Amino acid sequence: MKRPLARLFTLASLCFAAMLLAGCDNSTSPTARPGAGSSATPSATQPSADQPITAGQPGSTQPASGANGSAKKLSGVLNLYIWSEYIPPAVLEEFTKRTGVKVNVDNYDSNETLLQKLQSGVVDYDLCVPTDYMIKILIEQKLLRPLDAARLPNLKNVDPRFLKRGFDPEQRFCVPYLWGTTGVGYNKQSLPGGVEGWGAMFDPANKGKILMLDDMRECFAAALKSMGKSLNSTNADDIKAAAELLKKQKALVKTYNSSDYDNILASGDVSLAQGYNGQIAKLAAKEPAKFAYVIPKEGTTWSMDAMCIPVKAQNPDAAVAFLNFILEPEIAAQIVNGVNYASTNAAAKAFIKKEILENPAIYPPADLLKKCEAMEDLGEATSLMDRYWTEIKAE
Amino acid sequence: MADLAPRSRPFLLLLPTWLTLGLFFVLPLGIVLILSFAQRSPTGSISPVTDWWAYISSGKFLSNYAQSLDGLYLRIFWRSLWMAVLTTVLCAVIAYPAAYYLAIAAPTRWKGLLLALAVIPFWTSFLVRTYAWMLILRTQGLANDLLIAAHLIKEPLDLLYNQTSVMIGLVYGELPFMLLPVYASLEKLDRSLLEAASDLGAGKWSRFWRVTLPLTAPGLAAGTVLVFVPSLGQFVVSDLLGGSRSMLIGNMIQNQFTTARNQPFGSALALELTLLVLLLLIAYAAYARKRGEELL
Repeated sequence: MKRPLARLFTLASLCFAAMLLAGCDNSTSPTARPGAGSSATPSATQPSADQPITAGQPGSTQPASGANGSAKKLSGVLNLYIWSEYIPPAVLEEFTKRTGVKVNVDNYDSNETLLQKLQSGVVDYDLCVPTDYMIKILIEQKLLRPLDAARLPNLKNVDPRFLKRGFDPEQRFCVPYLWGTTGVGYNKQSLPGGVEGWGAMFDPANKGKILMLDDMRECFAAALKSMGKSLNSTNADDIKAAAELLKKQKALVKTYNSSDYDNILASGDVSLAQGYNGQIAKLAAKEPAKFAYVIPKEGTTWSMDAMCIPVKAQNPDAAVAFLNFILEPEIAAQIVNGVNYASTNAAAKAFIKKEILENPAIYPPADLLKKCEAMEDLGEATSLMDRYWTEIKAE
Repeated sequence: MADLAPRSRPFLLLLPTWLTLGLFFVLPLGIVLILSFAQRSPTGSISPVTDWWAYISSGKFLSNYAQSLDGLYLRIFWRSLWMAVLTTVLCAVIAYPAAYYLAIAAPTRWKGLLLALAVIPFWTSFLVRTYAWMLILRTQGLANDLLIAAHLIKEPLDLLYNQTSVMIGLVYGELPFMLLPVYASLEKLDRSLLEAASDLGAGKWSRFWRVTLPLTAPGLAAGTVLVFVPSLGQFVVSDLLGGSRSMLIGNMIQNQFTTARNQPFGSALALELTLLVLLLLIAYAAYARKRGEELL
């Protein structure tokens, strides 16, 4: 009786070990991209972001930023959990130079991954950078530490239209960072006619040339917007109609990818890619004759990322100092110049490169921006949408 | 150790295993089991239960399992199962001749080197190797470049982002888990039995089918378990090489924990997958007992 059981356990543990090995690979997969490693360490040199630090000169140690006066008390490390390629390493080095606090960077590629990590309670990040709708969820689940406005004098630099929004009406939990749009990057050579709206992503003529984000909400947003509906619609008929459209579209889609879309577009595997503007703007800036980014005329998602301090932060003082630091106009501008996303910092405008300020892909015209919406949590409708999403992917 | 009663010694030796399994396998599985009876709250966390009696007597605690029996989810289960079976069969078909060559036909002095060559790629992260396959198979990738340079094709082929590329990735990734146990069983094979078969008039094929294969079946069985189980839960390969166009059980479970924020349903699906694997292992253990020998 005993031996087969023992053998079963040996086998189970072996298989478990095998699964564990496979699991280790799996767990890193969503965030891992070939280039992500380089952005994970502040010391790594990143060619495009290595501009000289204007604010870093010895003379400009910012006496104005009052909170940095507490710098003498700061010590230890600051664990920053942020999207990949979302902060220039030079900025982190500058912070270390001023405060002596070393910054460790860890990357994620979806808000949901961030939520999972914070929910698990086993990590102790000092700062994270969720998107608007996720801030609401994080606040509801009591995963964020309230901020003391008195300790954030530089918050005055933020453009008021990014403050006190619905998810954080008293501005108690987050400090606006960058904002951007989800749109279409395309290859000008394969699409000489250009792209204006979402229609191109659903056009049978482009079969096999399309990349969609592997993101349920963004795919539904594209479909809903192309039908003239709100991307936050919780109406079952709207969601169903969008799902039908996406099901039909699947035959045209070559791949769904959320982390590597710019590289796949650059490699020529696809000619049209749904993606976030910063990464595609970077590609278009590198090869302006070949690639372009367009905000679809029907409107799209606009999203703001904001820095928050998780409840479990081990070094909240350093986190507050870091928030004041990135709110300084010169530093905020340096970030924008490095990552090609628009700043929420009004005072930074004076220091941002002219070609970025004038680039409609990064700073879209006001009339187009009016048609864009920020994502909101769908509540119960999330489950309905997920079911359709599974149906789309089950084919 | 000398002052310990002999009876407690096996227990002490087993303690690390039990602790590891308990802490990292039984405990998480218990948490998943409890979660699988819960409900998603509108914000995507766990709904608190106010009336336990009503919750249990109405059968609501089983609703995640009921939902998983929907044709949609069963179809994904079925496809994953089918892909895992195909991966296992292909691995066996590819690994067996290779292992046969390594164990029996290869010159002894090359054996070590050849075996090392078969295993060395697997020192690199599985993810990196999968990305390498993307570079090989993409439209302007190595495979297409070579085929065009050799004037075999004019236009690049669509090699990436389909079922075939997923299969290539799966088989490639799991191959050594089949190769090594089969190699071990062939290596252990008593050569005098083969000679006896030949002496008694068996031809090459007959000798293989009636002697070699049955005697190395335990290696194949072990390889089958080692390949089938991980490929059933795979989701990276279908994401990267399949362009995440088709969902497998692994993707489905992952989605429930991420975008859908439905941990209870994800837990129920994960438990069903575990149960399926456990059934397979029990069948394997039964087979092992029937053969009356150590298989692993």
